[in-house]
Amino acid sequence: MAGTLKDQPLSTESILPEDLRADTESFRTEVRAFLANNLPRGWVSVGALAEDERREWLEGWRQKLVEHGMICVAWPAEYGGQGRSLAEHVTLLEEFARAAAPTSLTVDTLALNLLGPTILALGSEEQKRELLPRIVSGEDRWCQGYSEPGAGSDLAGVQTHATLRDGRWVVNGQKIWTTSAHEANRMFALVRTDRSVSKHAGLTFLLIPMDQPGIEVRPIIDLNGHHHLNEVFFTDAETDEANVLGEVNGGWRVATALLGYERNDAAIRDALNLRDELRRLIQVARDRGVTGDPAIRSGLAQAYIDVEAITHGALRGLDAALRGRAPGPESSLHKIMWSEYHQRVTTLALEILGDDALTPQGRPSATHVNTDAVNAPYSSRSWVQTYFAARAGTIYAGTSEIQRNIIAERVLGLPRSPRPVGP
Amino acid sequence: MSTALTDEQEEFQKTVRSFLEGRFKEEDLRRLADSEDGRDEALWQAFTELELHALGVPEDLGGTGGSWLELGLLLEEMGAVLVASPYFASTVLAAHAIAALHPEERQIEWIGHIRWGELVATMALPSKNGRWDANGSAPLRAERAEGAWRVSGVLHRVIDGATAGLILVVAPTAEGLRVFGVECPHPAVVATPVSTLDPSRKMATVELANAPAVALGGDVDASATVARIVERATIGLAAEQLGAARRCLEAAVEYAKDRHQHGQPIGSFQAIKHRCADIFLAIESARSVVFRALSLATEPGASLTAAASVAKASASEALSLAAAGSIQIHGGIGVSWEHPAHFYLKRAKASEILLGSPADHRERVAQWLAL
Repeated sequence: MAGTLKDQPLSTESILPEDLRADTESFRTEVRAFLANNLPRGWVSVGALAEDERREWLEGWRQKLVEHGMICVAWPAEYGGQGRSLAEHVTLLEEFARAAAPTSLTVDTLALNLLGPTILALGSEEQKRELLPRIVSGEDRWCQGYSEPGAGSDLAGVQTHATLRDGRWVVNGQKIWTTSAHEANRMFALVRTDRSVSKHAGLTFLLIPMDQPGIEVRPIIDLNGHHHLNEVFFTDAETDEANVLGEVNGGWRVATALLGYERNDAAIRDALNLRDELRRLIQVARDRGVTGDPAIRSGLAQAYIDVEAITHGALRGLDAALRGRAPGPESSLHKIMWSEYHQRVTTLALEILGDDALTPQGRPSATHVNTDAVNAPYSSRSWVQTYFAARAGTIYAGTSEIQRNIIAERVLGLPRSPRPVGP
Repeated sequence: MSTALTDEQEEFQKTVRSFLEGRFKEEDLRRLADSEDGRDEALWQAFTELELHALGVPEDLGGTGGSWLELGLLLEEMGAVLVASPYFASTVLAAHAIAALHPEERQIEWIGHIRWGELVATMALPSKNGRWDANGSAPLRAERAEGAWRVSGVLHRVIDGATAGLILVVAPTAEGLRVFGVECPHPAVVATPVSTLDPSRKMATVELANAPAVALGGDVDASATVARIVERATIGLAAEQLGAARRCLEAAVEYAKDRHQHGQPIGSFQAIKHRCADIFLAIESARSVVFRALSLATEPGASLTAAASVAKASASEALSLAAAGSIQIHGGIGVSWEHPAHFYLKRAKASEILLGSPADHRERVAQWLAL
């Protein structure tokens, strides 16, 4: 039967299985009504806004999300969420993607996707009640203090250390590649609290206020000329003794758990964004009259195949989560799949752009990471910047090489690599 | 419709896996690879007793019932141990083709015979100029005289064509493409076994000289139905490829844990680890789209065009990567006759070509995307 919804290439219809879709119909109607009533008339996308209007519009939009309970919907109501199901959360992602409406700000990403779920799983009752509502409201904006000049892939090698003095942790050292540190008022960080034990055993997951004299943030400009990365220097910076997530010296366990939380809903959001991006790229190829080129036909078809694998892989992960299974190594699979796909498809995009790519014109890309803004109109500059930004995808949040080690060791059960002998 | 398996389906997969692993060993594969008919009689009977023949075909059409998801799970497990059997031809191609063509009483009986293991059936796959072509038909001539059909022509590479008691063929007629059933043995049918790249899947050249034929599906063009039959078989083949790929990776990983060089298991070296991780990625990507396609195949109205091509391209590439990677990780023993790795590479290459190569399927996807 031709022409069924499922037969529409990259349709914006729900990707949820029908049984789940039926359960979420009334919430879907609510979300649609919210979007219809609150998006500006004739809304295209964040990417279509002038660069200087974006920040203000986004801040106002985020406020509306809070007022209408359209953010962190799957968090429990007592901690500022809406107590909705994971399937309803996915429904919101779908409807927002279809309307090209942002679900949060870039600076929220870490708190919403990583820290929040980790606090929910491992935080004390007091931490949940204090910290989660402030994430929802936007009062707290968190950055992640993991990497250091000497600790990238060897994350457990961090040297920034904290010592307890009169009920305060005193922090000294340096973090690097810290996304949004210049916009955040708090940092969750992995710091060394015991140098006498093995490197994994002496780490603590510390929550640190950013607005204090002991912290200095210096910008790092990325390959697109954008500022979103930073270096952060700690000179006797302080935080309260109670600002530890998990146990003192139990930070490695918290950090490992946190990596697992970038998972099903994030995978679904990535899939939706990648579908939108590919839909737009196909349109660019048509507009430029290059769809008869065999290499481009084959490249776009393979991109579609890859996006289908990412989409249905994300749905498998969602299904596992709905059955109450803890997030597993599928987050490593998803990370490799989307980030490496994104490098291939943005390479293909420049092939499709042809000489246009030599002289980037038009609006810049709306985000620094992942795909360009959903539904954004054509701009050669944006495609070129997204191509460059895609290089970072296989590096941050665990390089492709580290993710392959994780798959080989934790999924396939291959023995650990030989470690250099030394002290 | 959910891509997830139910508890019952998971149980079914476990049962089938342990049955086949216990029942179909490497020596069985070697024996059948050397045989002419490629069929283990006792295993065929066991399939009858376990009610696996004609799986996924509705009971009121003479089949065993169950869904394409269960059939896919069985095919995955059959692929894992490379079961040599006319099962693919008989159930996946023929029984499902007959069921899709509004069978009349006699044709429902055919399915019944397939179900009870009494009849091996097959279907000649559409091709054009010696290449797979979803819309092609063999260069056959079908003629009707006094209400009876006769078909003539030569069919190449008919899967299990030499042992089949029923061969379905697609031929052009005045009404368009139609499907005919040719019963054998018959003096007007000469089936000659041919040597195959994959020794675990037998093929034959079939010459039809005015062979009596039964028309299926009424006096109408069957192009759309044939396309759907072929798409579903393609999805079934992809499920089989998934299982073979999984087994290649398991074998490579087992070997990499045992084999020591430089005083270390070779599996501790990143060059080996990353190759295994890449194979795992390819398999899991394929698994997501193969099960998506299987679940679509259970829905009567769903279009399978894109899903089947996505599944077949992904599963072909996963199996080729896994079969070649397994040989490389096994080193010298991997290229020996004595080790079974070569059977998987032969299955990989043959299944990659059968029912359309990844390049063919990418082009189909490109057309479906209206490029």
